[in-house]
Order: sequence, then C-alpha cells, then structure tokens
Amino acid sequence: MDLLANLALGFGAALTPLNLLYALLGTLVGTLIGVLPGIGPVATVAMLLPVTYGLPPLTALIMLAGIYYGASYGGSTTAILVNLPGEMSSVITVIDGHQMARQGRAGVALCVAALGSLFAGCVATMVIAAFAPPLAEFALRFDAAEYFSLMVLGLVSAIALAHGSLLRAVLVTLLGLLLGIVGTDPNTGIARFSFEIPELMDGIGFVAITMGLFAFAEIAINLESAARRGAIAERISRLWIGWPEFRQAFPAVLRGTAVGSILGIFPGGGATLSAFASYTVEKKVAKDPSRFGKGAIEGVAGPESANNAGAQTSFIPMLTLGIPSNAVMALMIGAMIIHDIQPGPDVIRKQPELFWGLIASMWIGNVMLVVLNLPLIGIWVRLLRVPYRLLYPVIVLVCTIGAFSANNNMFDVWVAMAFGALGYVLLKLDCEPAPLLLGYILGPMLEDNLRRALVLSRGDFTVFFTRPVSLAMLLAAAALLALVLAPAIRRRRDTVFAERE
Amino acid sequence: MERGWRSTMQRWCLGVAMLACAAAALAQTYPSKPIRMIVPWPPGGGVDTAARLISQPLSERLGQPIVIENRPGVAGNLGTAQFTKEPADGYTLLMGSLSPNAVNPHLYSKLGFDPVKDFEFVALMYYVPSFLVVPANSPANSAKDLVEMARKNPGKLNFGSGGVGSSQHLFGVMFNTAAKIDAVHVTYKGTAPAEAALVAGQIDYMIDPPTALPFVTSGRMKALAVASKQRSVSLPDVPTLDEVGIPGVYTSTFYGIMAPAGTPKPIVDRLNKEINAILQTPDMQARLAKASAQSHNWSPQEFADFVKGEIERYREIVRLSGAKQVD
Repeated sequence: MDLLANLALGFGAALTPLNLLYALLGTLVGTLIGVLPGIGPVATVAMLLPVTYGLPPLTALIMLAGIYYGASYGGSTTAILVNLPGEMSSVITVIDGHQMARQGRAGVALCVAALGSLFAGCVATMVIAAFAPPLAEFALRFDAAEYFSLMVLGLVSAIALAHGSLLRAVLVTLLGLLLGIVGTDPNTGIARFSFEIPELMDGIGFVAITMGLFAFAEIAINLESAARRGAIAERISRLWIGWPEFRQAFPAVLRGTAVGSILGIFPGGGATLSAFASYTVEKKVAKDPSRFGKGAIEGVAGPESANNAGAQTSFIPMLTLGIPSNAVMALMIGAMIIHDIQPGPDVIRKQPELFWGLIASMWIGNVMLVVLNLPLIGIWVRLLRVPYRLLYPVIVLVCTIGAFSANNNMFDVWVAMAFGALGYVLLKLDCEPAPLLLGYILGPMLEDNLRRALVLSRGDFTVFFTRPVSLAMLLAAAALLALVLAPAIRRRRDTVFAERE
Repeated sequence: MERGWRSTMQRWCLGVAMLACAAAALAQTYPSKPIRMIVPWPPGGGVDTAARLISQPLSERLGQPIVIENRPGVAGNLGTAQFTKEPADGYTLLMGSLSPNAVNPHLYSKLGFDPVKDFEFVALMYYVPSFLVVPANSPANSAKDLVEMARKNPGKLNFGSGGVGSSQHLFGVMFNTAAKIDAVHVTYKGTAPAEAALVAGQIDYMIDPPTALPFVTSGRMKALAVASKQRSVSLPDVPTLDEVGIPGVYTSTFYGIMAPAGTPKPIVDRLNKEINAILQTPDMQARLAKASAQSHNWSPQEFADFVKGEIERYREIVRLSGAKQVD
C-alpha cells in the first residue's frame, strides 16, 4: 500500500497545470528534435538547462525528462517513414518499420510504435516505482567482465538481425567491428587508423555513419530503379491498427517491455542494446522468421517497446545512486545540483514529492506522447505520397545539416557521403547495413570492457568464466550461436546427402 | 575598363579608411555585433557549463548577444585549433581549459596551435580542486591509511580515470609520485563511468574533481583529502594533502576566456573588467562556492602567467604518466 500512497503523492505533485504544461512542452520539443536527425537529446537538454534555472526543480526535471523520451519516440518516426534512424535506439526499427511503410502500412507501424511505447513506458515506470533501489544495487555489481560478456551476447544476436545469408551477416558485422576500432586506443591513448586526420582520432561519428548507410544509400538505390522512383507508398491502407495486427503485436510488446526494463538499468549501453536484444527474441520465437525484414509487425512492436522501457528504467541508477547511465542523465544530475538537490539515495527520503512526482510525470509524459503523436500519424503518412523527386532532396538536405551539426564540422558531411557510397555497395551485394551498425556500436564497448577486465585481473582470462553472471551470459551466447548455426549446418548436411543420392 | 579599375581602387581606399577609423573607434564601439564563444567540447560538460554560466550576464553587460558554438573533438584540440585561425577582433572568444590549453601540448605532437603564442589570455573564470576519494566501504579512512595499504601491496591497488591523459589520470600520477606508491591505472570512458566504478568498489581510489562531491555527501564515497593549497569551502573538514604529509599535489582544473592572438588590448581589458565584475557578484560567488570553484579577480597578465606556469608544470607530469605522444 506504500506504493499506492507514494504514487498518489507523486501524481499530486505532477498534476499541477504548470507541470503539465512543461511536460507537454518537453515531449513536444523532444519529438521535434527526435524527428530531425543530428540534433540529439543531449545537445537540446544542455541548451535548455539554463532556461530551467528559474523553474521549480520538479518542473525543470519533468520538462527535461520529457525531451529525453520524446526524442526517442520521434527518432522512430523518421526510421519508419524515410528509413532514417533519428536516434541510436531506433536503428532496429528501420528494418521492418520502413518495409511496412513501403507496403502502405506506415500508419499501422507508427501506431504500433506509439502504443507499444506507451505500454512499455507505463510498465517500466511501475518497475521504477516498485523496485528502483534493489535494481540499482544489482546494476552496480556489473563489473567490466560482466559488461564484456553482455556485449558478446549482443554481438552474437547481431547475426540474428540478418535475413538471408548468415555468412554475409557475419562479414558485415565484422566490418562494423573494424570501423569501431578507428580512433584512440583506450589504454595507451595512441591513435589507430586515423591516417593523421585529427577528426578521426575520436572515431567515426555515429550520426555520419547512419546518415550515409541508411539515408544516402537508400536514396541512391531508389533513384536507380524506375519502380521505386515514385512515391514511397502510393496507396495507404489504414492508419489505425486492426485486431489481427494487434493480436500479433501484443505478445511482442510484452516481451520487448521485459527485455527493455531489464537491460535499461545497466549504465552504458544497456538501453541501446535492448532494442537489438528484443529483435533477436522476436525473430527466435516467431513461427516464420523469414517474415522479418519484410515488414513484420513484431519487428517494430518489440524493439520500440524495448527502447522506451529501457529509456525509462535507465533513470534508476540516476535516481537512486546519483550515477548517470548516459549523457542525458548526467545533465539531469547537473540540473538537480543547480537546484540544490543532491542526487542519490537521499532524494527518495528527503524529497519524496520530487522523486515520486518525476515518476508520475513519466506516466503523464507517455500518455502525452501518444496524444500528441496519434493525430500526427495522418499527416506523416501523407508525406509518403509526396513524389520522391521532391522528397529526396529534402531528406538529403536535412541529413547533411544533421551530419554537420553533430560536431559543427564539415568533415562529418564527407564521412556521411563516403558511407553513402559504402551503403550503396552493400545493398547491391545484398548485405544488410543494420548488423554493421551493431558491430560498430558494440565493438568499442566490447574492446573497452575486455581490456579493462584484463587490466583489473592483471591479465587473467579466467575472470570471464569464474564470475557467475559473466559465465551465464557467455553460455547464453554459446547457446544462441548453436541455435542459429544448427539449421545452417543441417541444411548443408542435407544438401551433401542429396548430392550423394 | 579604366572606369572599373578606378572604382575598384576607390572602394579599396574607402575600405582602408574605414578599417583605420574602426580601429580607432574600437574601444568605444565594441561590441557592435553578436559575439561567438567557441566551446571545444560537446554540450553538457564542465567547459560548456562554464561558458553557459558567463554568457548570459556577460551579454547583458556588453549589450550584444553571445552565441555559444560547440566544436568538440580530440580532447578540445580541434575546436581550439580552429579558433586560433579566427580574426582577432574580439568577436570570437574561446572557453579555454586545462586539457587543451596546458596538457595537450605535451600529449599531441600535431596540436594545430601554439599554447602560448596563439592566444590573448582574457580572464580566468575559476578553477576547481580535486579530491582523493575512495569507495564508502574502503578500509582506508585517511590518506595515510591508503598510502600504507598501497605500500604494503605494491602494484595491487587500482586507480581510475576518465581516459589516458585525462586530468584524473595525471592527478593520479601526481599523487602516486608524491606519495611514492605503485598502483595500476584503469581507464574509463569519461568521468561518470569511472565514478560509478569507484562507488561499486571496482577500483580503489581516484583523484576526482568536485563532480564526486554528491557521492561524498550521500555517503557512497569517502573524501580523504583535497589536492590543493587550501581546504575546500565545500568540505572544510577534509585536510589538504600537504597537511597529511604528501606535499606538492596541487590540482587546479581551470576555465578561462581567451581570444585569438593580436586582439586589441582595449577589448581584452574591457572583457576582463566585465567578467571579473560578474564573478564578484554575490549570486555568482554563491554558485561558485557550491561547486568548490575559486575565482581570483586576475588581470589578463596574471591569468597569462598562471596558464604559462601550468603548461610548464604539466610537461613533467605527462612524462611521468607514460602517456604517449601522438600525432
């Protein structure tokens, strides 16, 4: 009953007209920057931080939190409509979401993303309310060895992302890993593969890679074939989700929510991994995995729920321990300190209205996102009927601005163009760009944690097997690998036998 | 043709005349258009915070907007190098700081700028000390305990940092050298993950800027000493390292406004006067105290001498850290 009393306190604090206004403002701004590539929630929150000095602390936090999950929602919109992931977490949504749009089901995809996110957000908020402190303590036990094994598990699941050739998926993932190596060596500080170009010392920018691989490459392919040069979708079936689709999507939403809620609590990459993990799960449990990559609704419903749940539960380490799990959380801590609030375990005790008010506002923010975005679906979808010759210059323009504004540097625009060329070649060779991006995102984390674990163990490789959580994840990775490889091996044996006969 | 040439000539003369007038009237009319402030880091970090803290009150005093431009990359080098190529007219300023302006000259062989010759040092904003922090459950309750622990187990203890050549790394080397202990350096990607690892007890100690203070007040970390000449206003009970017999470890992570070399002196002086006046306001002083930050009301010359002293000091520290020179 404590929980209900606390939530009542929270809703009492969050449901003032001022707080509602700023929750709306935050989600609105967040959705907007999520739709625009290049401008991420980090930059936006940093710029708006001074504006919040004059606001009451709870109001300020409500607005900043709204920007954060608004951005992750807005990112999915562009992923579905124009094959452009606005945020790291929506890379996966591109795979099936954009295919749905091509089939004229963009409205359904957007609708499922919105409702899935709402459901996941509500559940994750409950998780925070009920279990935040013990979960945070659990997340703290994750050392470098555990993170390494988690990343191995993530990488193995990258293979499941591919539809079609397993070999191609592996090769493309390896290419992504190699690209992730570019930049400064984490242990010695020596520049690797930077070819004396200073801009490459920090590695290749995520924004530039995604713009190139997804947007530019897609445009090049589209312009090539006359059939795809028309509007993205001539006929649009329905805007609203139907009952059979709902029945298909709902279990995926449930699974995605569970995956996201768990992975979100781990600082550093947990929330990003959750969308990838959820897609893998969906593909594994599906009766007919071949539908994935061709517009499977579960491929949108699962990852979208997972990334929103992950975004929500990533508040746990920040709220309970004062440890930021990503850059936005670090800024929120900055905002709290400006208001003389020391983030950490004391917040729940000393300022319960603030703690529970923020939790309640997540709920309110999620509802607002849906209220805000469902009417927009009709408008977004109409965008798809715009002739492609008008649409693609706009996409190129927006992407170029996005690539430039990530670091205010022209270099990233050239990088984006180079990756556009690479992406075109990959698509021509029937290779998927998504596993490449996963390799590129996970590679540096994998290396970083592997080497840190080895520094901490003074070079003893057995740490990965003697720590139970790490061992469990490595075993899971091995099992998944066996599961993926078994059919391939069996098939080859079948063909071998067939040839003998 | 003739006519065209003459009009070009006329325009050219006019231009020269205007430039001359402009230079004379500079001190009175500056600033007459918006000012850009380059932050060579992404939004949200310490340097960005310093820039956003000063930009609002400074633009009110100057009567022109100040636009902050984030140009991150290579530990501040990219944006700083680009900044030094901007015109020296007072309309482009830099939020300078320890890493690019005093440490990186010793870390990078191709810096793209000269840390002394390419700058006019306008005004120090403030500097912050760092603290020797350990996890809450650490057996060490004083700096002396920690040093004893480290001496009994040479090479067994781990100290963390936000990366090779980061301030925590160099401060850790300074501390280890002064305390004559041997410990292993563990890198993290930034300060926040390193602090999380310390809270979880995965590393043994760290010389950390005031970002660690919330963890100390919430009881997740213990602050054993402060690495500065005076005790910190935020934690007055914590002794300095000098007091506990580990002398000479002074960490002052500074933030200050700089202009490209050749910026007219009247402009530099005007900016220095306004910035110092802002820093002396009670509201600003209260904010600085909260962050353990110290301002000094220094002249441009005093600020320049301070930075030059830091550049010299870090030459040896970088060498001791073993961080390699990179292109």
